[in-house]
Amino acid sequence: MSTYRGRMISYNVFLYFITVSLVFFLIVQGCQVYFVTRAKNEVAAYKNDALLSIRQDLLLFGNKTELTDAFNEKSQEFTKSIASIVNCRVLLYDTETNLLGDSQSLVDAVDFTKELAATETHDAAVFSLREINGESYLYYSVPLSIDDEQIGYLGLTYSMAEMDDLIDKIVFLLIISFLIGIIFLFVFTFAYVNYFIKPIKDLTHISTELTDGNYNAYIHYNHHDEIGDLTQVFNKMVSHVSSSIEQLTLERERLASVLASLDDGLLSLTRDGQVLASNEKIKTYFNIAHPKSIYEFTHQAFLKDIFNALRDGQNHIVKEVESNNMTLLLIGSPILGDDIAENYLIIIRNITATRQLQHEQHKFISSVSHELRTPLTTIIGYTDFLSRREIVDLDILNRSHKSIHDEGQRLLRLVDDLLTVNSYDQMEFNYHKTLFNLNELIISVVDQMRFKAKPKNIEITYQSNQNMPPIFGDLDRLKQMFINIIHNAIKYSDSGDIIKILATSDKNTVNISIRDYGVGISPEELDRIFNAFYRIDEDRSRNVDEGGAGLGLYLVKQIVNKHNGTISIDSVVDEGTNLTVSLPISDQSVLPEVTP
Amino acid sequence: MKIKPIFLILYCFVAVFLTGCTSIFIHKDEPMVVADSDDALATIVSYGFLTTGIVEDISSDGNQLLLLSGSPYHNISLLNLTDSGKLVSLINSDKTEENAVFSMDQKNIFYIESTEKDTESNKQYQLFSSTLDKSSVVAISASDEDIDPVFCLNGNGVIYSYERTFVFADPISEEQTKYTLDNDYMIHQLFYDSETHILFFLANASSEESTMTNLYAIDFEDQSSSKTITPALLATNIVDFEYQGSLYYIQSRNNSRTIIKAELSGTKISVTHELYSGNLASLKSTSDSNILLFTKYLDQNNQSLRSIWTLNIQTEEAKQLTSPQVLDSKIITNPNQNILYFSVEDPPVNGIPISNIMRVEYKTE
Repeated sequence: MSTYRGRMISYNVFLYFITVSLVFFLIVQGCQVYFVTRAKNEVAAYKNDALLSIRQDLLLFGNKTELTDAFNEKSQEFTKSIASIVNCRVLLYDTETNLLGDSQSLVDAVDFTKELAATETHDAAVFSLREINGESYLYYSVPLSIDDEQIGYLGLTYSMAEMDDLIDKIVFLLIISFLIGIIFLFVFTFAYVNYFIKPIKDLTHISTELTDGNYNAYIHYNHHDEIGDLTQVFNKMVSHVSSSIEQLTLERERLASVLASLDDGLLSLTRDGQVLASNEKIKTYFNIAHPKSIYEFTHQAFLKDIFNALRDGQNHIVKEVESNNMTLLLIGSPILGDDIAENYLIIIRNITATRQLQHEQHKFISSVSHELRTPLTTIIGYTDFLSRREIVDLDILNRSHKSIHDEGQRLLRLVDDLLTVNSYDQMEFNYHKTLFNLNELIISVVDQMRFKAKPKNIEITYQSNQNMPPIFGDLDRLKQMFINIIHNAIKYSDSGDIIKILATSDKNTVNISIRDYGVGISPEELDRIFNAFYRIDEDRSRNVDEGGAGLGLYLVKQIVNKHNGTISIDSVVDEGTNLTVSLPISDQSVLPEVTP
Repeated sequence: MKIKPIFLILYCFVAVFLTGCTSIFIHKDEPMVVADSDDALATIVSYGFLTTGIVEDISSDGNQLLLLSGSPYHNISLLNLTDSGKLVSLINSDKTEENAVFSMDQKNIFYIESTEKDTESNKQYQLFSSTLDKSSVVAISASDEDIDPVFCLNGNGVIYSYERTFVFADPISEEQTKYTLDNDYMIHQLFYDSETHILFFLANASSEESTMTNLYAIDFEDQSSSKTITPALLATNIVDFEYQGSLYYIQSRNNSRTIIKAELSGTKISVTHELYSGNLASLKSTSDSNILLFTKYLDQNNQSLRSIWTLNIQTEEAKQLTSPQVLDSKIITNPNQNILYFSVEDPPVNGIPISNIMRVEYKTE
């Protein structure tokens, strides 16, 4: 039996059997020793009685010289008379151990050979325990002497039937008791084992619950004993583990949230390349979710290179790589601790935007430098021309002054744009929102821009709903926004093209789309069209004089955002561009009634 | 194959269990020497038959035995132990005589004569005195006194009892002094120490619910016959006693009987000492103050078979002197030699039991 219950029953049966065996052994042996000792003492007393009886009878007979003859002659009588006073079978032998008399039957004489031989050898009384026909007897023999003259031997057989009977009864009772005891043992052991192993079962059950993550389970055992001590210690351990697990879970969640909130990808690796921790950015960057090993990054050999370098003992590795159209900065370093094995950490940072921004800033600076240089060169050229030659031609003077003035204006406009962008970036731009009619604003802008489009023979049309709701916003900034958009449309339209402006409204928004049929924008450029300092390839511009700092649409985007609106752009190269601005209609977008 | 220790132990205990009935400490069929017990036997110098009858007393010179003779031993005879071995009839009546003793001066004998009242178990006793020459027979107690069948000597007088009365009788002066007791006592044995004037007696107090026979003592030195006497209880459950300077008595305790030696302070026991225990029946002092004689029966179920033992008071060593026999008399000790006399009942002949007076001479060392 492999169960605790089975073992306990086995041990109990084993101990019970040993106990019963010992009891049985001790009782039986004790009985035998007791009865034999008692019988020996009784027979010794009988022996004295017999000796005295024989002595008295022989002394009665008279002449000492004839004692032996008288003994030999009267032995049979002696055995009868002795047997009448002692509870034994009496046998008398001469000095040659020949049987002279038997109180029972001379024919059915018992075998006293061994005892008589021992008596003769030791010249002393001897006894032995005999078993005759299944009954025990004590045989006792002693030399018979009168006045120091040995005349023969006395033999006594004492029945030990009382001992046999008692031992038989004891054996019977012990066997019955043993069987009854076994039954009780089984019954009681079954009963109390259940009682004793209940706390152990509870421990097993609670341990299973702990394994399943239930750290609120406790054992209820109200006895102050060893099991009680165990359950108390176990409950304390569970409580401690529960609080530890809770704290670890909290720390893990914190760490996970930190990792998840990182803009950088993170890989924590063991020395054999197993992933200890990673975050979602890894999937974003490499399209591998929850990697288990560094070797899963089959297409990112640079990661394995960094891992190998770290494992080879390098302390800090910084590497910039291109992957999946991204510029990634990889930073690898070992994680060292006092009691932990060496692990490694690789941080993957997407610096594509940074690099793009740097590129555009370089491009912007180059453009600004170029834009600043061109009017300055013109101004410096005209001033040199006017200072070195005495120009009297008024027309030339006027044209030179105009050119200097125009270039100066151009410089001023460029500087204004830069200041505007700067003020937007620094959030110093203050909006003064009012409720106004957007339709009127667009008409005003269209009228203004038609004047600008006229030299390129570009037609601007405007169409709107009759019941256009008013807008709550900054009139000047929205006007600037539409000017910038229409200006860009004019800028990238061919001569004779048409620009269509359509204003519609629904329940929540007012949508204004500006459609041109100019050069259009490539898909690659669409993502960056609203970035600051971004300018479409200048070669594609239909008017080189209109080259700007690349801040027009950036400002448009900023203004739309400040009005909680959206801006979208659809464009096909050489087919034109459709830009749509959606502005929300706020609760305040209701014009107050004007009392006459 | 490796055997687990638990199975080895189990195997051993199965073996023990299976051999439980086999004697381990006492081997069968193997003779063993017993420590020699011959020292427990006294040495008999001679053992002989004297005559038939029941021996009652011996003269102070040890030459005459007083015995009950005749058939069925109703008569009192005198056996001369000298070479003549002459048997002289002293009392020959149709009544039953018993408890015959010599007087202190050896000139008289005292005896009890019993007559049947209505049934055999209801007898009337009378104390008589007779001279050894049979010239005079005197009734000590009155015929109407329902005396107890026991008495003891007091100098040349005698003490007997009846009802609640002790009578100190002097057969010569025919004076009697009577003392009244506080209670009725069924008296079994009397002994008077003339030196200390203390009367010891075994009795059952009729007022006691218990059937125990107790040993009492009365100091008669300062007693007045006009006052009621309350005996001092010395010991309870007493079988027999002897007084010889010290008090010896057999006391029953549970299923055993013990010879106890007691020192007296007046009528109070000051010190007791246990000498021997066994199936004791009677006690007798000898002329040798160091030796006590006692009889011992075989077992509780057969108290008629009794053996005679000697007990050395100094060494407390007991030795068996005779084999168990059917004793039907007191043990009479010779005052001058290590000789004792007793009667042994032989199997009845024609329905009449025969008692033989035996003489045993023994060595005490």
